[in-house]
Amino acid sequence: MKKSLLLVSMLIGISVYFVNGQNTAEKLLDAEDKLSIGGYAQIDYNQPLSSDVHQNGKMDIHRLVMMFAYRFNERTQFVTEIEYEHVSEVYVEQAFLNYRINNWLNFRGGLLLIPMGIVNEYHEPATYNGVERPNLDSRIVPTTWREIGAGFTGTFQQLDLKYQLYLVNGFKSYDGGGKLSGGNALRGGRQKGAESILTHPNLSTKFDYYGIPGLRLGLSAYTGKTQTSLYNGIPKDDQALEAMADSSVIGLNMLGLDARYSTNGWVFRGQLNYASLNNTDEYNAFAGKDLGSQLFGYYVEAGYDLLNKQSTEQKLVPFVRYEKHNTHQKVDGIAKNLAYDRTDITAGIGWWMAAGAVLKADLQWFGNEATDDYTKQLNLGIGIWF
Amino acid sequence: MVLRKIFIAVACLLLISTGQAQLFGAGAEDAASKRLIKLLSKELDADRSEFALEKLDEHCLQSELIEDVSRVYRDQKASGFVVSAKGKGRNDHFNYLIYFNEDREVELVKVISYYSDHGGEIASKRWLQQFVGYDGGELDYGDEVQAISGATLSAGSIVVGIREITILLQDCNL
Repeated sequence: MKKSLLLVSMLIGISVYFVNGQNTAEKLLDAEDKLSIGGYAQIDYNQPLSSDVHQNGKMDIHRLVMMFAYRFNERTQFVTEIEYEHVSEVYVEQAFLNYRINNWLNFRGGLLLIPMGIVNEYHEPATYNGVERPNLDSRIVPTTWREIGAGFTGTFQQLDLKYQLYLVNGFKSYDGGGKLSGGNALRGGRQKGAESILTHPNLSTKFDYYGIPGLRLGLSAYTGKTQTSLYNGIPKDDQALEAMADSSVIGLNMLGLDARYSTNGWVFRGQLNYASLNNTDEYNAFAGKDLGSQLFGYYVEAGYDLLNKQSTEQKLVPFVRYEKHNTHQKVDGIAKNLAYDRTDITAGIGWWMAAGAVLKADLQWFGNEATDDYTKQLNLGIGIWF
Repeated sequence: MVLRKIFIAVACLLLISTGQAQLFGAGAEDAASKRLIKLLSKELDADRSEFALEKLDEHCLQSELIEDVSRVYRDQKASGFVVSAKGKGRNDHFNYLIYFNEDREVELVKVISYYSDHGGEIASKRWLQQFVGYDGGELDYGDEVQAISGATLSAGSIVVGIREITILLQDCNL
């Protein structure tokens, strides 16, 4: 039954192809159109402020990213971003092949950004307020979170809905030692497509609704298990070794909600993330770590473009952001570390000289539940995007 | 077994949709105007036979943004202009059309082909609706035009395009 269905659809596909002639649909485009070049960069000055001790400021070309996209034909495109981080570290941030079947169905494979929250996918400095990315998007969503995988994406035009659905490689929880920790949660487990090991495939999905002008809502979900080096080479009937390897695996479910709204010069955004981790008790005992069993955090941000009424593409946006994030929201078998229950406040201003060029300045206050004091930091930054 | 079923289902889906895409894809050079007429008649809810196009190649309409411009005739009566234009998103170019009435005010904007998946949100009908009636005045992205998160470059590009093309068309002595 299934086979005949496959045969029939193959025949339909092939016959339609021939009726239309060989790719008459394909309008060959100018060579200059085939290659797109873009990029973004973030140059920061961070100065911790303390009344008690001297502290170095830090000046850093935090990121410099070159984007290349090459279109082979109307349907097939390759996109990559090469990133220099802190000048000397080179990463591939994205590298995927996209095949557009139609508007609502694209096949995509390669090194993909995990669609979770706002900043992991939209991380160009001209798209967000503040010199640094929100800390929620570092501690809980380990931006820039990307892994090798494949799946489908597309937009349903009538519904103003975009979806992404990918099967991807997951975090590495163990490789000669534990990779995940209480303070940074999953961040140390990112494999980034660099000789990554695969033991358990993970599923990542996101829906974005943009049907109300000015508003964009996102719902992200991620589920799977972490990867471990310990299964490699174990005989398939060795239960003791398998049980040991099992102890180094964490089950992970993460949810994200995000919203962006802009109207009459006002810009608002917010994001909430919740993650539930299984087997942390065994993992912590096995790897000597303090990984929490629940992660939770959110931020809300508001800004206003003072040049909104002027007829200029420039923007001058003061903003304030409030963040709460806790990588020990819940723990299993260990004591909660209150220092991981953090509150960050950021207030500053950005001057967009053009849509893709911005100067930023802000002050940040970092606090946590283990102390009454906030540490302070001044940030100045240059952001570009083209 | 389950995997095999999933594979078969996906393969069917791929094959059918590829076939459809071929069937409804753009034609060769002379089919381009047929396609425009088809789009216009569909969007304006009218019969295809009512429309005729006459290609214009006046110097005053030369622009990097414009692919071509046609005079639109409806029931043999001049009834506006249709412009095929090109914009640039984050990863790639895209094509859109603007239909102007006889007063050279925007009647309709439609994104025809968006190759990259990034920024495809600008094809939203509700978002494009806000350009209807535009006649060449102020048009700043984020001010007069509602911003669309996640599609900043594409949206910025189409806003600049619509403004420049409208002004070009209005200043052109046709």
